[in-house]
Amino acid sequence: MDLMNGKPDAGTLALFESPDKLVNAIEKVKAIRVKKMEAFTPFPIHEVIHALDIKRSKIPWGTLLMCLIGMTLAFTLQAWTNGVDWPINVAGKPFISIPAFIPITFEGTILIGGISTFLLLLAMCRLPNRSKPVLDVRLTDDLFGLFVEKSDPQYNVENLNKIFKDCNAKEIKYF
Amino acid sequence: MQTAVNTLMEAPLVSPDKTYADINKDVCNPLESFPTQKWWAVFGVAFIAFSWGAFMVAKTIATGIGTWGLNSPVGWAVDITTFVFWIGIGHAGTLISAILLLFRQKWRTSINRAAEAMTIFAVMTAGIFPLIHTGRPWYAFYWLFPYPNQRQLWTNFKSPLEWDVFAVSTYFTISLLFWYIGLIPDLASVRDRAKNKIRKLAYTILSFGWRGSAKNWNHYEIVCLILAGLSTPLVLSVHTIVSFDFAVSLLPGWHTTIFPPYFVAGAIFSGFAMVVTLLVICREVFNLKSYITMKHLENMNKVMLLTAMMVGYAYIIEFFTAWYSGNMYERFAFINRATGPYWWAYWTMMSCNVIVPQIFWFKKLRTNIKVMFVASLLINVGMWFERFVIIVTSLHRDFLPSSWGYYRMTIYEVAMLVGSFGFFFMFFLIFCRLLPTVAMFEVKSIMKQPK
Repeated sequence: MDLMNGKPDAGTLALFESPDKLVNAIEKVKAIRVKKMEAFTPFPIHEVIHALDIKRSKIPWGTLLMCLIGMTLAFTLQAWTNGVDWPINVAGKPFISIPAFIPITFEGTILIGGISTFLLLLAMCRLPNRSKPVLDVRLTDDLFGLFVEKSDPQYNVENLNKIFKDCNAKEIKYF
Repeated sequence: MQTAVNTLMEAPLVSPDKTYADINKDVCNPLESFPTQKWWAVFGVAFIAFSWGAFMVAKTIATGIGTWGLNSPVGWAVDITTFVFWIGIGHAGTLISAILLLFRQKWRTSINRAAEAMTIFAVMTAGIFPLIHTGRPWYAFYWLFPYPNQRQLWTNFKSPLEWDVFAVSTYFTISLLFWYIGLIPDLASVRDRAKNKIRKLAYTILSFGWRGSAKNWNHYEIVCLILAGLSTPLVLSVHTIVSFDFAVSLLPGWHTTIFPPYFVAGAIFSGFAMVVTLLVICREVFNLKSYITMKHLENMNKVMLLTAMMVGYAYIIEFFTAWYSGNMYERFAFINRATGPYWWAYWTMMSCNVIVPQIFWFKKLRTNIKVMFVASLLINVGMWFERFVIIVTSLHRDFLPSSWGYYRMTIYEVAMLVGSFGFFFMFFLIFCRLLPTVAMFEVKSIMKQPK
């Protein structure tokens, strides 16, 4: 796409018509010790993620940390403003009244945790993505793609072509 | 590949003759064609309603809230009733997108996008009312948000009204993020279908350049699960805190411990009614009957039946508790609700919310489009009246008969209520034109995979 600047991917892309064929191809490409490959699918497919040996996301730890920070901030804000900076006596409650501060403490936990999770998703997925082009428009529609990078030491166009054809690839594209 | 271990033989959620490519084509079709005359007609009505409301609100702000029918002792009426009503509407969207995700309910996939859009627009609509009801909304910022100011004063964090500010704004933010994350892969689909350059640029920016790599999906799925986990207690907390606006006070009729669960059940009840109203129209106008099937509608009607009975139980147990408390003011507040000057509001609520949904016991009726459409409208009328009954009937007869009064809606308040519907529908109609109304990638993930 002309909107994108930066280095386009170089390598071979095979397009398949079903997730099963894609998983099959991943296994075959793995067998010739190719490491630098990436699958593109229109929706999440766990078998593909497992076949590529992708590790479980670490984002939940970030969420936990940010939730705890949010909780502390929200409680401190209330306790400091209403209890220390300008103590307000409301219906004889203690200046720092823990039960009355629980609702906002909870909301702060969720707010900071949720926003951070969104930002972590963007960071981990390298979004917004301005450098990597769309390899094929059908990859967000009904085709399942496997991309092997040229920079892989085991990259060999003829070998890959043979494997992809054996796996019933619908189309093979070179970049 | 998908092994269904313990599923019963059930009707498929998507028509079995549909392929992955059909989904993109069918769902994106309304986005890629010029709006129909029907769309313009409905949008026109919504716009007129909104304009009338906006004009009358502007007049109210210029004049003061004396334009409303408020008096002593009725200091809250249509403003807060409508606020609670719209907040409640939003809850069904979060239930569908978050709670049903945690419960792995596959039928949510076709309806969650539209339902969550409804949540966001409903919360936006609701948010206007507390601002208007202050009378001088330009002061609302420092009444509501704690920020360092020259007077060195802070907001009162021990007040339920302040809790509400945080609950509603957190709810809006998190719902918006969750909805937007859900949209990213679908916006990429729309981008990849775009023929026109400007359109392609717009959707490229909106989709953040999403490519759908397996590594990204791995993070993406975890994030959806996490946000569902955060939204579930959040949505329960929001209406709980809204109910605290009343329950934490000492007023008979408001000072009730059953309020939090009762409000949450009512919110989900009215929200589902609104989802049915919107989707019955949507699937007809945008030709989405293969995706939003009778099974989806029937499931929603079942949820309404369940929540209607929870709400009905709350109505009855409130009376029991008032009697059992032995407190004469408490007893009076409830007898006055059912037989006092606002008996008509009370019985509208009772018949719309408790009696009408009973028709959903019968399969014939809960799978009939016309019946469910009318029922969903009646339920929303009933749920608006529920909040009206709670707020106005509890206020209008104070402890001393010398402080008894009667509240009547003025034309300004009617305009405000009508305008809120216009505002909401305007956003919803624009949403249907610009964004995919069905979560395409999620529907694909529950379909039978080609060999």
